[in-house]
Amino acid sequence: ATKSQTVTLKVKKQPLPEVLASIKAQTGYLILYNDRYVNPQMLVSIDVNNQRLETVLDQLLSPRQLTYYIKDQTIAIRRPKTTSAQITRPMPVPEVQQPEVSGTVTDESGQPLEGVTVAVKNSRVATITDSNGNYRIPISKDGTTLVFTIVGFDAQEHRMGTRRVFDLRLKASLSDLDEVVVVGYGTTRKSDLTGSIASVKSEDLNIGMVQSADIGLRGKVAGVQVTQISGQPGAGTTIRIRGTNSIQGNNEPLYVVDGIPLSGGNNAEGLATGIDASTSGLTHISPSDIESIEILKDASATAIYGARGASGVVLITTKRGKEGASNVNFNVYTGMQQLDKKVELTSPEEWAIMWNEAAEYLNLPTRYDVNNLPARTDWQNEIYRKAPIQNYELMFSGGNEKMRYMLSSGYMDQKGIVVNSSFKRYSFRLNLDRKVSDRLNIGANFSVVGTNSNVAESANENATDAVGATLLASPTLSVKENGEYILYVDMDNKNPNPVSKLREYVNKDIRSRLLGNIFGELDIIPGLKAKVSFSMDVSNGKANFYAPKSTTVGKLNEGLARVGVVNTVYWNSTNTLTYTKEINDIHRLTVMGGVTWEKSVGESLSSTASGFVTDLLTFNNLGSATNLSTASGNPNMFSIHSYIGRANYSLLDRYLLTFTGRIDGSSRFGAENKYAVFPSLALGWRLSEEPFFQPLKATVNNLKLRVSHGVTGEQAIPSFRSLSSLTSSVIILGEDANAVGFYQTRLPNPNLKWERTRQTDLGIDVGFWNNRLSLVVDVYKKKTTDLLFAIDIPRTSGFQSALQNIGSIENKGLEVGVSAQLLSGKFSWDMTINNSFNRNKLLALSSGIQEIYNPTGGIISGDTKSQPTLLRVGMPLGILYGYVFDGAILDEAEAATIKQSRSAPGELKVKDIDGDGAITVADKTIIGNANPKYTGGWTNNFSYKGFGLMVLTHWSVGNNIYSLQHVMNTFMDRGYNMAKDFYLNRWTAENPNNHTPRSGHDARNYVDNSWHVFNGSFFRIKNITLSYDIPVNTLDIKFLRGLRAYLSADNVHTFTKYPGYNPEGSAFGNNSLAQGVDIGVYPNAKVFMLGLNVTF
Amino acid sequence: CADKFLEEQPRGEVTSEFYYRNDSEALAAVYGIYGMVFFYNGLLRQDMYLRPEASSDLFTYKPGAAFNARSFPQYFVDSENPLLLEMWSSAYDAIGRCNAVIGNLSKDHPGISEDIKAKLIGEALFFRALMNYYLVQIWGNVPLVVEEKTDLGELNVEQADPADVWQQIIEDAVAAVAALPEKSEYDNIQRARASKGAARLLLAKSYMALGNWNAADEQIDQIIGSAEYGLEATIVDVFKVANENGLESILEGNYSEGFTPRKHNSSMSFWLPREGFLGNSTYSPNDYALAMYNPNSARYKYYFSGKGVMVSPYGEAITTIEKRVYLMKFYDFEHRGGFAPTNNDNPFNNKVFRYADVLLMKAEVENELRGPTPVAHNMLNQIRGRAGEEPVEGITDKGAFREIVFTERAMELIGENHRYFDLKRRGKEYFLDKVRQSRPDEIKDHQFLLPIPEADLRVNPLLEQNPGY
Repeated sequence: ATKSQTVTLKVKKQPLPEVLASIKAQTGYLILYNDRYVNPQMLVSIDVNNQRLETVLDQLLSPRQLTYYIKDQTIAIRRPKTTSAQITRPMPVPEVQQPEVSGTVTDESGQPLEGVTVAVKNSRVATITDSNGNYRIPISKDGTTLVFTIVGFDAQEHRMGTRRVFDLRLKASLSDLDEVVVVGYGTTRKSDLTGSIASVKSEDLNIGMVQSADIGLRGKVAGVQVTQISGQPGAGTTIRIRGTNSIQGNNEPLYVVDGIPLSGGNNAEGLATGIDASTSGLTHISPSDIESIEILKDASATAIYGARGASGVVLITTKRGKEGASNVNFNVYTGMQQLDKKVELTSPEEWAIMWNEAAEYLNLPTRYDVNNLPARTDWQNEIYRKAPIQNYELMFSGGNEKMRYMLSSGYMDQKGIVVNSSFKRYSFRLNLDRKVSDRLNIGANFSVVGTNSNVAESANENATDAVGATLLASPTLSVKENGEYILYVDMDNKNPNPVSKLREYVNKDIRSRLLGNIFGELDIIPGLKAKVSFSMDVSNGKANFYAPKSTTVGKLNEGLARVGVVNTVYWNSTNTLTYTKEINDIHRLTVMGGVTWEKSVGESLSSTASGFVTDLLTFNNLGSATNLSTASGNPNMFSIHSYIGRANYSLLDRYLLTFTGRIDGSSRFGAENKYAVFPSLALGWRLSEEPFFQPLKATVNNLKLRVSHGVTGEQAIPSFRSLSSLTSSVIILGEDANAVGFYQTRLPNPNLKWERTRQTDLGIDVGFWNNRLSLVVDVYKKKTTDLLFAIDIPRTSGFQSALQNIGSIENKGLEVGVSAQLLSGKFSWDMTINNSFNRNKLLALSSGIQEIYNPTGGIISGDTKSQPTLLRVGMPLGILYGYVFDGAILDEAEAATIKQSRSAPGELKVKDIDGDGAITVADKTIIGNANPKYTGGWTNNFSYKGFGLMVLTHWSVGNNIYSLQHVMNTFMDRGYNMAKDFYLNRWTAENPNNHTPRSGHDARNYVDNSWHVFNGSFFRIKNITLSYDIPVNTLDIKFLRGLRAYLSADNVHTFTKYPGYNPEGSAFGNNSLAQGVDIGVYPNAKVFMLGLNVTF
Repeated sequence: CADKFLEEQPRGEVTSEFYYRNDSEALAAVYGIYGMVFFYNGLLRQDMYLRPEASSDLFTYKPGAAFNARSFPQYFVDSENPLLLEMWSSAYDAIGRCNAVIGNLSKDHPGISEDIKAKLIGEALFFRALMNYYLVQIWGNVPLVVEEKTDLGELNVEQADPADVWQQIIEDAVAAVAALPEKSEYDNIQRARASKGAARLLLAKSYMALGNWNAADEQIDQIIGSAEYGLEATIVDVFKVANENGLESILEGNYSEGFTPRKHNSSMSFWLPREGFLGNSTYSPNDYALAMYNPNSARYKYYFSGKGVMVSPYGEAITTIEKRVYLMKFYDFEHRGGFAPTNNDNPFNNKVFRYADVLLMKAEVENELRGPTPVAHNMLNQIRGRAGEEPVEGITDKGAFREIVFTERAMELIGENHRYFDLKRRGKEYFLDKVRQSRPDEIKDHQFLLPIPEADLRVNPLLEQNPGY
């Protein structure tokens, strides 16, 4: 019979089974149902003409609270469970006594699958599984083959032989086009997508040691560069989606958790007490609570987030309860972390030899007897340790037709590999959904998270921080003398003892965050749905610092304490209307419109005290100090008022159109520019659905072309910047010790406005052989105009810089993602691989300026005079700028020919670029580029029987690192420890050379030179995880439904030429002007761990 | 209603439209000038107080000192030096604050009394003159900014003729002399504020720099005749905390104990040794300077020995070591109640102008106008006598007496930010000659002026770099 997907029916009060039979006749579809739910007493009336099958079924079944699945010409009708009594009742046994097979079907995690169609191949006999995944099907003879199918999973066929009990685990299909994808303010079918959106599911996210979800994204998504800049437990990452498009903004994507934008990202979290505690907003979400992460990359996807969408949007959806049996999952892992590699420095003897050389050369007083050194200390050994980590998560979920719940709690305790550093997280979450009536659903999401870190001081441009200073400490000094910490660890400078800091400082960062959201959804008329949601994000941060008198800073100040609090309250009201209409199965239209209000108010307070009689009270009693600074408040606020809209139109399921728009108003901008419009348009063409394509379909099952264009914005500037401002300072005037002065600190700029980013994206999605191989390729071009930048103004004005809209930046790139199911069957091998290329270019600066040297916010290291940052039109952000290192001056003859600040044999030599015979600032040039040529990741999953092996790698190629650490580790006149390669290659009087300067050379006039620029390319085996699913069915433990054990190694090995700790390390976080500058960064740990996951 | 929702209500900040409404707000605006001159990165807190002095012929540097700091005595300063930029920008920041006060108070403000208004304007004029006095001598060719900048589009100012800058300094100082009260007319608690005497002293110094000896003499006589000031009894008393803003004081940067918010004297750390005092010991007096003194004089002992507590700068483990000599004159052991490591917590005031300077100026001006008269000898010997030095008698040669006075100024006022400017007002040749006598690092001729900071050259196309840089 010819099969059609449309139905024509005109019946009045007919029994439902008869109506279904005529649908079966018309469509050729097999219809399965349980006659307890569908019986001849149900009388229906319907009058349809050439309507889509689904529409007819909806009309027939919805009023009777029946639902259905369609898969491969089979319609399975079922009834959502209403009471628990029914849940446990087995499927009715067919009356006829004949052989049958029974068993349980579960998903990969052991969750029972309801509604799986179990059919006897080449027959009309079929059934569906119940809520516990149980099925029972009659078979005619031995050797029958059963076919298991359900939407979202790969179909499986199994020959039964003589088996009468058969349990099966179904695998989620690799790329199912019917998959639902979360988009801004709604969801859509993946097949209907016109924008560039990448989706990462929970099971792909939580591999290895994932302290927060951003770490789990590493290497997984094309166009998304996740960089773990610090190994500090709890520290965040920087995420760049399609490059850097703002100088002033932090270029971090907007994070949206269950529809709530995380207010202010990192900014709202920063404590203003000078304590280095950068933790990302995602630190406050337990990664195992996350169901999926969607990354919105192109303007079609992000424009709905308007003025905050320019750097991409990360949508996080947390897990929700599902109808069916109660489910309990317990996950535990524990592991050990250690330093991956030490930085190679000179031994005490080597150092003493170099010091003596320098002392002689510079006529410094001290000399060492190399055979009789005062001490031999390996400072790195003094601060690193093996550190344990443990993590526990417990989750309950389940529900029935009316009510669904997810309840989770977690505890993580991570010690850091630097002594005394640690991170603890306590998390609780409750997600609830309630069906109040047929038309009204309400729900709520609540999460409470507390974190408690002890922070190791790291990353400071002069390496006076503890991690950096450890690498500078002279190896001939001991950590302690006469039982007391030595104060300074160099010869003639003032670098405080880092070991005393790390061991003795109390440096607590304590935070709590409450995210709450309640929502209601109402079906107003068929097709029209209203959703109202109100959310709050309340976060509190506390910083507690105390430097006891045993430390250098503590001694200088007789005990120094700092406390700070930050408190931010954010609320959001989002109200949308969605209308869906289908016409004749040809046109499908979804229109969404809405209005939102958001407001955030933050306050902070900090206090510093010194001069304590005793160390016992630490930071707890500032009042006992002799000096107490005035506490300073630092309030900030912003409000955003927006209108949002989106229309999706699909014609014949082949031609797709998406229009989105947002009108955003923000308090942060000048009075003249409060509102801006952010529209986008996207078109999609599913070629594979065209009639002419059908002959190819066996090979290419999916082919879609996408094109989008739109505008997004960036508003990440602090509050009140468009207004002029007077600030106060307390001064001392004779006996008037607290006179208050007021002065203007900012020039007003009423024209201050958003950065606008226009983006065009061209994409193609291809699936081969039923998605055994699939490919996604996107090319894009982004242009950001009205770039915000605190541009230097003449200091003669009395001001240093003014935030202005200047210039423009371009990012263009290519992203390729491939996923393939290379082997299936008993031994299976899946892999995904992605690679992205992004090219960033500064197109223009205001009023014809071609260059900004040492731009505000760049690196100006006061101690070393290192200024490697530059903005230059035509070049990317993140170029490194300085002198070209030209080795060493070989001998007196050469020294006589060179005109630079110091010209003597063995001195460092730089190139005279402009050839004017002298070395001046004009001889500085581009000496490196911190932007990688390409980045990518490759994930492999192997499985055999219950065993699984996952290997995750990622890479970055072609980026440079300017190592301020290397700068310091070549300064012998300070008495710092020296880099090993410097010792080995240096110029000496006995062994002169022209490639490496001598010990004690005077580099400081030309410190920003290319000697300190390294290739930062790396390839990292990020994670290897071996897991085993213990076959619980054979264990005969009734309540146990799944048991998985796993062994995991994280940061297994990094292949790189970079001599520092971590080629990704960046001392300046997400500062776009200071990319690729490394110093004193907390190194990443190598981790080995063991875990167990139990489902009840 | 949406517009109201988006309106910014700054909290913790005041916008300028709502300022200058009453006396106390006007006074706070003037205190804002003090903030920029003496606090934060203020010139006379640290940079202008240290760098020119370190660049004179009296100081050397610690070899391991931060490059930017030691490039001053080493004559390595280039246009990108951040300390140079800090000096430049904090001077202009202070001038901007002065201009804001002068401009705003000159408008009609019913809430502010006329009497207070005139005095406050005088205070702002004094500081504007003081800033320009330093600027024009350090850089020579500097922009002259006399109006508050409010428009982002009109910020570029071109360099003025140094003669015009001097003209402005004189005008501002004359007006300040007229407007400001004498020190004794301030409440006791306010006596650290700029007074008529301070303005006269600045005016006299400016006249001296311009060679207008008669005008200088007149101002100096007015200061001496005002009976507002006198010499402390001993050289030790001059630097006692108890005598701060006292008899000998004309203008001081005031500091107190307290690590934050930066109330302490941060320039102290540059003089004090690392060991024991936890100082940075960036600059120390050189042999050339020390050779000027009679090592047995009370002044030498007090200035350099610091109660004899001279510690090895390198600590115990290192044995063969040369001692460096440190400038200890500002460190009041008595106030400390003994010896305590206090890098960040020195309360000692910076002496900007003190009466000993006036007497030596009188000696110099008298000599220029009338030769080495008994009056000139007397002025000089008042200072020498207190210092425990033999009096100078019977000098008849004007040139010889001039050099004696200059050497006395160097000895008495070492570390107090006078020497660099004393040398400069004697002309380029004299300056270069003196510096070359004292230090191994050869100064190049063009370094008579410091380079204009690169940061301003890059954003202001009207500026020209000083020749040679």
